[in-house]
Amino acid sequence: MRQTVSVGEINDKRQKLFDLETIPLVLVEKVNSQSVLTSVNRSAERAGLYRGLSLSDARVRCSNLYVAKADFSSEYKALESLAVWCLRYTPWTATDVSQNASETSGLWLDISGSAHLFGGEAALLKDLSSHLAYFGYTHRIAIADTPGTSWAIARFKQPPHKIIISVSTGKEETKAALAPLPVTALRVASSIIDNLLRLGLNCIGQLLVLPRAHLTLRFGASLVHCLDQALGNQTEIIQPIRAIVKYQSRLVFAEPILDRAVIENSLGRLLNALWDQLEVKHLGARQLTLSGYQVDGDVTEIAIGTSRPLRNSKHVINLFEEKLKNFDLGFGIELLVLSANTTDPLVPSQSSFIASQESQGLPYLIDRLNNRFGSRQVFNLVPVSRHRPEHAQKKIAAFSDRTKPLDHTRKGTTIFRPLQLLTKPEPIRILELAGDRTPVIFEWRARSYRVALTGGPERISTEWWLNSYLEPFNKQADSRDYFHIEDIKGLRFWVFCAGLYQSERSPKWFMHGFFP
Amino acid sequence: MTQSCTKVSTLDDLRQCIAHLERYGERRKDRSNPLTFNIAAIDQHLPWGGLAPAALHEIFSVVPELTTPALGFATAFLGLAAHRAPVLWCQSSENKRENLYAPGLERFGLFSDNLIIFNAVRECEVLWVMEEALRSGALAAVLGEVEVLTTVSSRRLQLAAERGSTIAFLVRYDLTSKIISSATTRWQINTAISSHPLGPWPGATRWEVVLERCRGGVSGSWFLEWQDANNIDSGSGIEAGSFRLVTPLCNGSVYPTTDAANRFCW
Repeated sequence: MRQTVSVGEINDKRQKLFDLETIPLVLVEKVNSQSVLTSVNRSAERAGLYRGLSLSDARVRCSNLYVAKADFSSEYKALESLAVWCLRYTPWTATDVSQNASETSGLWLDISGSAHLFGGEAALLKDLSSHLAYFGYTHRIAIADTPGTSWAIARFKQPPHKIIISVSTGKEETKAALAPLPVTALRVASSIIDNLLRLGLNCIGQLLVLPRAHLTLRFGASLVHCLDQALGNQTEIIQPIRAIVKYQSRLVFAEPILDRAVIENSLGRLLNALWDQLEVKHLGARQLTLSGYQVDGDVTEIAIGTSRPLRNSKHVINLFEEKLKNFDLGFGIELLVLSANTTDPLVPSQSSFIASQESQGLPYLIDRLNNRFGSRQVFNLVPVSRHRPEHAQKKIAAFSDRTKPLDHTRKGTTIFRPLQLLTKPEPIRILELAGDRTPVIFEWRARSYRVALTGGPERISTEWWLNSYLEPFNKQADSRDYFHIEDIKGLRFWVFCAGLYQSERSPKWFMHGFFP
Repeated sequence: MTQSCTKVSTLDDLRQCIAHLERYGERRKDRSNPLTFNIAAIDQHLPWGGLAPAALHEIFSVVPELTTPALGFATAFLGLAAHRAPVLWCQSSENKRENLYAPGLERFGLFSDNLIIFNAVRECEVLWVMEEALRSGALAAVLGEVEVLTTVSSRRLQLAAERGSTIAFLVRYDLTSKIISSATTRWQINTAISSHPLGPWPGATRWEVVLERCRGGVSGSWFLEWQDANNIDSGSGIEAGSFRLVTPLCNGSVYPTTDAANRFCW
């Protein structure tokens, strides 16, 4: 059974500008041209305000009210960073964003199988709670068999001052825990809740004894579906905040670490632990992320990528070392997690007596350049079978396919092509044309050139299947006549005349490439 | 007699000392062979029997309007070196409108599996990458297109080339910035009118190559022609292409001289 923790009622009480305990503060949002409260603090709650109330009503109930505009994007960002921080407890955490004003946002944590790392469920919850309190968040935590039940318990279980509530495993226990809660705890649409309340069905226990067929008939399938999800008869699918990493190693420090050298040293231990996991599965790492959990709840992450799967500590440490100076230690790192985000098959190989040359060789150099500048800046050029010269090549990541051995016998293209090509052909001004309509003197980039030798033309048009609307011998045809010309100083250009010959119109000429 | 003997031996000692200081000991010569022109006249002119294998070579472009001729000369050597191991081409996209073109590179024996291109955003990155690549020793040659170079950075590149025993080429365009660099050789590349054996068409690429500075050697000047890999008949056994020495026309070009042409073209 999945053990799901729901953290609800998270409120930030860090704003110490004025005393929040005594002054009522509310956050408002405009809904249908009416300001509605989205959050209330304790003091406002004591004054009888609640979420979903309109601001004008709230002002009547409480005269000395402080009002601020709700900032959902920052709220969500804070929640997300908290969810990332919670990854220290389990690889599966999710944010739970409220759908309407009367619900609060929260977090999900699936701690199945990870509670023992913290000395049991109770100890984990206590640790989580104390950390949240330390960060300055008031909260309520519930643990149950299903996400639905834990959500309901965390928000609606009485008494409200109890912070950690755990529901023991088992179908009957879950049922018993849900029964006294109000129907609002089921996370169904507010219209259904209204109907239920109108019929006098106030708590979930009353629904559980009713025949399911009648419930479905009256309230639609969603109510029974939510009920089944809460009871564990149906699985609820929630998207975790990060893709679940299968292979990771962790190192907890007794004291917060403020020294980069310690982190560099522990990297070796983390890597060895990770290689052990990968070696069993015959895998090699392609992407590695080092996450440092700071004492104040922030998470620093640095990531490296490698051009091929590997399990070589020296190579990886060297790659990490260049990025470690960007590793923000904050007020100290208390936990380091190294995860292999992407892995590829790597068959174990016989280690040789001679020290491995991998950390010196070409793969290491390419990995270093890729990690420092990004793979877009380090590339190979591959010719592509296209007619248009500017489309006849593409960039691929450097040595992405190193399985093929070097072939020294291959031959290049037999057609004459320039060494450099302009990204966009530039127009040239023809000052004098020869009898065969080739340029004799032309001007390009404010310099004039006198042509000595001309080779060509070579007619290149776009592929016929790419612009089907063109009829054969259309005068607007997208063809170019390329000439290889050499000026009197020996400079060699690749110029073209756009379009086909038309007696009434002087042709347009363009500069496109340069021969050595 | 004894005095002259001691003099000779002292001189030898001093020469060895200098050679050691300049890091051109036999030890380094043996590590890899020089890149040869395959032209006896030039190879014998150079003290290493070709381009020094672990050294920095500067290649200047004399033509202000176009960089391609100097680049082509460097590319020819890069193609020759690419037979040993992959090569790296470093360029920066600062003020740059021309791109390298794969079909054109293939004519120099540079393919996607032996040429890595690094495109820097800023020019200082080029120097960093060149130094690291040279130091790693994983490549046969490294080419960099650099506009601004200081004496210190040229020295660093030379030392890195020696350490990784890799050939480094610096292609430079700004003739006014000829600093006292630590490069082993400095070449100046000018264009030359080509000739086609069959008619008035552009023929094989020709350069007027000037060896301006050469450590431990003397300067020189030649007319060179580059034979593409595909123009060579298969029997010759050369895959990347080869250089050929050309005799310059004694009366100059049949076309008007540059001055006359400029006057003509305004």
